[in-house]
Formats: sequence, structure tokens, C-alpha cells
Amino acid sequence: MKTIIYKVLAWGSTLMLAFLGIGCDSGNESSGKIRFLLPWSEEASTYNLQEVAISTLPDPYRLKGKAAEVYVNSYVSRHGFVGDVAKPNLSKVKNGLYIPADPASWLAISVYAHFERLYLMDRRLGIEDNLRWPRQVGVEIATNVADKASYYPGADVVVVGRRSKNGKKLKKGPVPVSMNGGILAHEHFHAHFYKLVKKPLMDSIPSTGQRHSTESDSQSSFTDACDRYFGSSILRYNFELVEAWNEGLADFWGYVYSGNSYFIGETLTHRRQVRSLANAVKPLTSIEQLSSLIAHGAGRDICGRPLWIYERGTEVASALRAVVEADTEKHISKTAQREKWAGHILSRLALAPQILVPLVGKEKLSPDFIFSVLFEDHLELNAEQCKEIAVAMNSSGSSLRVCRGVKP
Amino acid sequence: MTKNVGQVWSLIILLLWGHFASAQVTLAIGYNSRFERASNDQEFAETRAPSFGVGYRWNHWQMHVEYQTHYSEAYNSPLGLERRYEELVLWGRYVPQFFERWSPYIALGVGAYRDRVKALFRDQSFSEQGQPEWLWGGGLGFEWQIFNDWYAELETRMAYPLVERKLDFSWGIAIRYSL
Repeated sequence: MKTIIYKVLAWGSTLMLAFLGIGCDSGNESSGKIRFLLPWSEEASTYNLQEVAISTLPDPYRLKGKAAEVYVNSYVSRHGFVGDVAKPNLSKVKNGLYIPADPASWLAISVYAHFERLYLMDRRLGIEDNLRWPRQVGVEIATNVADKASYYPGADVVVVGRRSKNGKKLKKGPVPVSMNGGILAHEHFHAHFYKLVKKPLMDSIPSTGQRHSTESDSQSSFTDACDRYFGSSILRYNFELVEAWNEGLADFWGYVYSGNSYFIGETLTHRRQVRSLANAVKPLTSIEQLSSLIAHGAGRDICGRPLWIYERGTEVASALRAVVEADTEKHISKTAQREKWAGHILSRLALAPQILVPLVGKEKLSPDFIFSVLFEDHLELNAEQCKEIAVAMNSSGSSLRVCRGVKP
Repeated sequence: MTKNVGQVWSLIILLLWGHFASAQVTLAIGYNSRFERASNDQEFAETRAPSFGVGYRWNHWQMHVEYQTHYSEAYNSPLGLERRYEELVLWGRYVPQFFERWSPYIALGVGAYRDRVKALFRDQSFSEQGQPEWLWGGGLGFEWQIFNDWYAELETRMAYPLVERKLDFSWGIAIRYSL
């Protein structure tokens, strides 16, 4: 009897391990691409589960590659995130596809995938040298506001706040910030803007601005610094305006990357319409209106950051989107078309400090002055594009020289 | 696949050795608490599940195959993850039997684990059986002889999945019966 039991045990156990068939499949990592299952959207399509290939990540179990270093539930120091990079828990299925095995791993891998695309986009545009790579990004970070993304210029990192836990198994709900490529591109753009425009401007005056967020901020912010240093002076006005431009251009960058005019509304559903870039172009806020908003501190969000900064920014972004949509160049994809204009705009921003530094302390700039910075004496605009810009500049009554003489 | 054939034959030899050594067959049932390292490498997620084992016992030595399966789910709409974790490990133990009825012991193990993850996003879901991967384990415990052939165990373990390269921890209690 004992002999039978021994044999059953021996062969039963052996067959179990043989059944497991360990180490038979190396997946497709030899091709240099690792595939993950992620909620993903291409060209404004609805987010759905897709296999997403990542080519710059040497090890799927360490989120550190050419494009980004991703940290989970970490802290920000002056030099970046504290601790080791994220080590996601993964399940590798038969065809070499990796499925994240816990929510934080899922968010962290999504962030890496988007920053790889942003890295490749920066390379296509020839602007990757503006920034330090790999970019440092933190997800599920304990911040004062959940579900928000921020760029911290001091440490040069992007921080995504911890998600609010609802514990619900629902078939609907907003796309998490970490999975919203448009919002990540928005924050990524702030790094470019800080390097090209904001820092040179701030260096030209005494200021201590430190942080920048998608739609909320609670600590010492650029605007607070302006309050402290400039009161209600011309400088204060102009720096608030620069912040609005920063937000608007960041929205435009999110649109360029995602192809989605409603990318903010995918996550901030209550702001879907007001932050939509598909809204018809309208005259930008006038100097007088903006002065009034600043004076009254109107419409601050729960963290004290004025909502009008984002909304005025979205007005700029809507006009820029209209310029792109009115581009009639043929034989070029929609993505290439958007990126062409993004490249033009960034090259102009590199020159912005030369234009702005002599002016910021002298006169209140018109909100539509951004169009002069971006387009004047540089680009040829067609009649439709000039028409859209003219609508946006209507409140100041000014116009672009490049558009004078352009006939509809 | 050649490598696997070698591994399987090694296991066959180990298990049949018990037969020639005239060892006692043991059956065990236990309850385990597994602490898996989170993606920030500092926190742990705990799951609890029963375990089942069969093996041999001879003199100061024990060898047994143990199976555990853990289930966890995390929902935060529109995301959801349901996960079934399975582990099959061959454990070898040395029990010095310092005292008449109880003794500490040390354990080393080698085995495999696999996941089946069901990923949910809005009204979509995807589920497929994960591939098995190797793991190494080590443990320390106490064994107490309750009756003649009945033993109670308390053990703490660490596991090192070779592809993930991070240490997970667990502890468990078990009742073992020697046939």
C-alpha cells in the first residue's frame, strides 16, 4: 500500500511541475519591444484596453528607461523623487503580453508608455535637448489634492497625485490622470515652457515661483510669489498673463499629443466643456477684463489657484487648434500636421524672452499678444488661419502683420 | 524544453528517493498570510489563503510539495483587477529535534508561481493565464508534536521570484499528519 502511495505522490507531483512547463516562452522581448495591456487611446478614439508596445524599457520589472523614470508612492526632494524606481507586479501571458497585477503597477506603466511617446515626439520635433532625460514622474504621490498632475520646476519632475479610492466595480468613470496622455503631455509641456520662457523671465525679476499644476495648486506658487513681490503692479499682471499662456500652450500640447480636443474632460469630466479646445474661437479677454479678474481674485479653485488662468489659457489653445485645423497642406497626416505647428510654436517660444523681458515691467500686455509672439514675422498663415486669429484678437483691435494683405 | 526535462527528472529522483529511504508520507493543510511587495518596493499587500502539502519525512529531514492559491481584487472605477495567484513549491527541511516534542527548523524551497489576472476597464475585460515563473524560498519555523503522528507548525518564509527579483514574505500555520 505504501509503495503505491509513494508512486502516486512521485508521479503526481512530477506531472504537476511538468504541466507548468516553466521557461518555455521568452515572449517577444528579443524584438526590443515589450507589450503591456493598457487603457489607451489613439487619435481621440475612446479609451479601451489595448496592447501597447514600449521600446525604450530594458526591463519590464524596472520602470527606468531612456524616456522616463517612474516612481510610485514616493516623495519629492530638491533633486527628484526619493527611493527606487517602480517595480511593477506583472503577469506575463502566453504571447509575451504583460498584464499589470495591481492598480499602482497599471498606472505606473501607463505613465511610462506615454512618456516614451512624448520622448519620441520631442525627438521628432528636435527639442529633446531642452530637457533632462529620462524624465522623472511620480504616480500615486501623496499630495494635497488627489487625482491631479503637477509639474514641479524646482525638482524638474511631474507629480501625479494619489487617486481617490472609490472601491467600486463600475463600467464607467473618468480616465485616471496617469492614463490620460493629453494631461501628461500638458504637464510635460510645462517643463519646456519653464526652461524656455518662465525661468528667463523670472531670472529677470526677483521671484520665488516653484510649482505649476494642471488645475490646482496649494503651496507657494508662481502667482503667490507675484502677490508677494509685485502686489497689483504691471509685473504682477503680466506674470499672471504668462501663466495663462503657459496653461493654454500646455493644453495645446496635450491636443497635439493626443489628437483629442476634449482630453481634459476625459478625466476632469466637470470641466469637459469649459476646457474643450473644440469650442469656437472667441475674442480673448481684454486687458481691462484681465485686470479686473486679477484685482478681484475671481473664481479660485479649491486650492486657491484662479480658474480663470486655465480658462483664459483654453481660449488661446482653442485658437491654436483652429490654426492647425485650418492648415491646408496635403499629403501629411493629422499627427504630422499637429506636430509641425507644435514645432513652429516651440521654436518661437525660444525667442519669447527676448521679446517679453523688455516689456513685462513697462506695460500691461494684451492677452492676444501671444499670437504676435508665436506667429509674427515667422510663418505664412492662410486666409482661414488669419480669420481665426483675427477673431481671437478682436477685443484688442490689433492684428498680425503676417495676415495683412492675406485675402480670404 | 531540454532544461525542463532535466528539472523534471531531478524531481522524480528526489521524490523516489523517499521511497527507497523508507520515509513516512506526510499530508499537511495550513493557512498562510502572504505579503507581496508593492510596486514602490516598500509597502506590502497582504492576501490570505489555505495551503496543501504532501511529502516525506525521514529522520531529521522532510521534503514536501506545497500548493497555495491566493485571490485578490481591487476595484476603483473605471479600473479593476482580479487576480488568482498559484504557487507550487518543493520544500526541503532540516528539523534538528532539539527537544522531545518540539523543534525549530529551517527550510529551503524551489518552485513556481503563476497568475491569472482579469483586467477590467469600463465595460471591457481581459483575462488570460499567466506563464509560470521560477521562485526560490527560505523559511524558519517551529514544529510541535501534538500526538503520535500529528504535528503543528508555525513558519515564516521569504520568496524570491527570479524574474521580478524582489523579496516577498509570508507566514503560516499548518497541521501535518504522518501516515
